[in-house]
Amino acid sequence: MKLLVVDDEPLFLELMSKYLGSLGYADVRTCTTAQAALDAIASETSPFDCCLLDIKMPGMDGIELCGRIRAHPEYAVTPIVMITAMTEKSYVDEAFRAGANDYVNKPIDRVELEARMGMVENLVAERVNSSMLLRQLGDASRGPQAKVDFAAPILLEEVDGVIALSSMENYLLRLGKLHLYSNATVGIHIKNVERIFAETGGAEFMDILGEVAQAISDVLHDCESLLSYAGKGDFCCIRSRTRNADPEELALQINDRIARGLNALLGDDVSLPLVSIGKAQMPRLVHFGDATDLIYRAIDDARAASNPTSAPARGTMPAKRHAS
Amino acid sequence: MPAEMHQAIQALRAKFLDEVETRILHLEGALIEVRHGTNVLVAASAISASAHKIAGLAPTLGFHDVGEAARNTEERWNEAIAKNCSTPSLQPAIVEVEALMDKLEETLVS
Repeated sequence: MKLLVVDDEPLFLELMSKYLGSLGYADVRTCTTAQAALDAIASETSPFDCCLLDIKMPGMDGIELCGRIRAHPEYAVTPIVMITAMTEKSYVDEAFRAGANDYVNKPIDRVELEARMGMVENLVAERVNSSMLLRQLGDASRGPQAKVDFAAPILLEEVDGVIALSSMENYLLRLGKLHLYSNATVGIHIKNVERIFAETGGAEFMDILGEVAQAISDVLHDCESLLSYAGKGDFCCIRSRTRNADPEELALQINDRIARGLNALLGDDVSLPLVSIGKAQMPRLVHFGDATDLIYRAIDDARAASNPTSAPARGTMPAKRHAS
Repeated sequence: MPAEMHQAIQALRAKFLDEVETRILHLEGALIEVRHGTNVLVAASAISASAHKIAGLAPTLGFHDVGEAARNTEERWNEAIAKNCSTPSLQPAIVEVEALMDKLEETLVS
């Protein structure tokens, strides 16, 4: 794997190169400024497989650099790990919104770095599959014959605030208990997703998901929210626990926004998506167990809300993915 | 930790020690600028940035006291910067950066 590490402290870069080398990552390019990193990206013939960026740097900081890297089409899905001693939630939130997938704390601990790099390896493998799918869908043959995996999480890149499901899991896992407490998760389920998938299946299904994500984003109109698509018509949103709203009212607004966006675009043979929303899932102040449960509890609740008479047993769906 | 990594850390520790004097001089220069200069905010930001770098590096090289002093320094100076470097906010910040310089000097003695 070819890595790019950016930090304004040359000794820290040496240290990272040694650590990464000891973990088996020998192909490491280092830069002491954001501009040097952008130049390195522009001049490399084959893209880096992963970027590790310090947040606090003079001039352009790591968050802006992350956004600039993401703007390169070939880096749209490349894992980006922020390196930071700044564990304030605002920095972490900003980094994830700028497209970071994870972060590693300074001072560096070799075991932690190994775990984060394990996550990166999983993401790289996942994204090789995703980019194959995107290439297939972006083809001249873009159409129903290009099949999407119904159950798979998909990164809907074109909508602001949408992050990969694995990044959302990392975000919750790494927030820390107190920061976790200030958040709530809300599940959104497309009630007629199976029918829509059967009617479309390929690029059109992705377009519909994008439109639903946009509708959710517009209605929640909360620039601090993060949203992910988990597959099978399930979305999860993380927002401040203080922004609690009636799920039925939110569902009405989102369905109205979807109808306005899609009515003119969908043919008569494709159903209009209808969403249900579950209750906000709030972590307890002392949250025992896995923080990513909040995502799956929210999704379970949204599914139960879509069919209140035959609510699924909790924890039965969807299959949980696991970040390191 | 593999023996090879241990050796690498020792080499980096030596490099860090070689640079300690320069880091102290940098902090002292910025502190003089804060006390007597015209651009207090720029000098305060330089101290915060310098402390941030040390905080991220020193503990991994085994200098835990230096790392802790650097973290405290960065926090106090960030608070002072947020308060436009008012005199009351600078007092605790100056105490912390002096403590950091002391800790850095101790690494040279020990």
